[in-house]
Amino acid sequence: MKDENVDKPAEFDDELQQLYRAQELEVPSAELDEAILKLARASVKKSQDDNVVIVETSFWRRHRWPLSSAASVMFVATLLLINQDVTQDILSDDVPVMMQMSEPQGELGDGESTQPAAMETRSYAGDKGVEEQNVQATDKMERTAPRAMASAPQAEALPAKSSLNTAQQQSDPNMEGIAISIDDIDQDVRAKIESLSSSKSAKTASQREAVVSAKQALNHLESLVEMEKWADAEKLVLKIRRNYPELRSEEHPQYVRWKALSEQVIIPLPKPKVPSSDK
Amino acid sequence: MSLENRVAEALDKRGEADSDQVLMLQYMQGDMSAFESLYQKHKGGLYRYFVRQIGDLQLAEDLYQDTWGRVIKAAASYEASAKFTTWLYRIAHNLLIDHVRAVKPVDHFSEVFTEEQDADSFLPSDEQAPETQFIAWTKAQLLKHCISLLPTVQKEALLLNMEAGFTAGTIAEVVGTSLEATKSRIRYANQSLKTCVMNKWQEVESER
Repeated sequence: MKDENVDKPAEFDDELQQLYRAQELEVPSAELDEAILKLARASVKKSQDDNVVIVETSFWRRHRWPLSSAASVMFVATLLLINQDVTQDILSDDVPVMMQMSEPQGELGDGESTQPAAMETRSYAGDKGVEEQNVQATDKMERTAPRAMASAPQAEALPAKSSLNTAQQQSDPNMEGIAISIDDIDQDVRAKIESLSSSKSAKTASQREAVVSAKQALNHLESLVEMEKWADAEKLVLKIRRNYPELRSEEHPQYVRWKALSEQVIIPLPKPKVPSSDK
Repeated sequence: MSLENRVAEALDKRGEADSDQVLMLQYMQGDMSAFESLYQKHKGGLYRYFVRQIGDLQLAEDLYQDTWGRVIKAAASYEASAKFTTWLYRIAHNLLIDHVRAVKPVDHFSEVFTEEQDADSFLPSDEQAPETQFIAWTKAQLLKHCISLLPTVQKEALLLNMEAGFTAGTIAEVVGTSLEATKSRIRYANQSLKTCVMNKWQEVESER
């Protein structure tokens, strides 16, 4: 706003100003005055009515910020507690990729998918009662909670490994008996491979092949062997054997690696026996 | 006018402006008597601001009432830093402009008198009036006629100066123009009115 002390007054002649003041002065009528004053009174009354503010002093309003903060914290904590398993499954690094991929087998086969390792272990163990109980317990656990098995494969792998070692230890004194049992294993394994192959849809197989190459599968197998997760390793060996038949060729670049790893997990298949009469 | 008188007048005006703001603040706090004082003080000038610019008395009264209505409504948002009269006449000016824009072009809304109006109509009705009173009254009537002939913007500048006592700077602020343009309007209005009154007075004298 301009300072009026500095501003010069408007330059109208004094004579004009005097003549202007000499004019009759029109003023508003009394009715008009009354109407405007009435409007002003109404406005004052209304503003006085509006100014009556009821101060809210309830507990919830007074402490609204602490209460809302506490409620938010409780809500988030509840959500985290409810979804704890989900977040652990998602974030866990313990679950191998291949194990997760093999889960649909368990669903499709309804418990049969976990059978091969157990069957093999059972055959290796022979009539050993303790190992059989371990196998059965493992088998039961796998049927009831395959995901839990995936998250804790170490616990599952221990009995299997022990039974495998036991079987290897027993194979030394009595090779002939073992040879028969190995034949049985071979048949069981092949039957299992066939059953697995038939139980899976072609689409699923193609998807997995597209996702995982032979080298990646061997890398995973190697990691399982290093971690001594023998049960998972056995399953993976069977899967690799089924999905990557080209690894059987000695010309395959991964042949030597595959052979070494598979022999660490599963006892190599014996050559067919030649009857003594043929020799 | 001496310098002392001018300073005293300026201080007096300053005091009046401050009192206007105090009255407005008191009204905002619910003091109705403050508003009545404010209204009585400014009602005449504002009323003539409209009546002497607009030929239609009813329309002038409507705009006048509307202006006070807006003052009452916007009292809560009134800032004491702004001079009350400046605020009041800015509201009035805006209403006038809005009406003129809605009705007709700016420069043609005020024609109380016509050029062909007879000079006899400016003669005083009382034949017994003294000579000086007769001359003053006649010239005032002539001035009123000449004011009506002014362009709208010049007429508004004149009325804001005469009725509200605004300086050129305040008039420029109210009507939203530059100071130079406002001074130019005042200068042209002053010159036109002097010439017009002188010519009309000569016509009256020749007829006497």
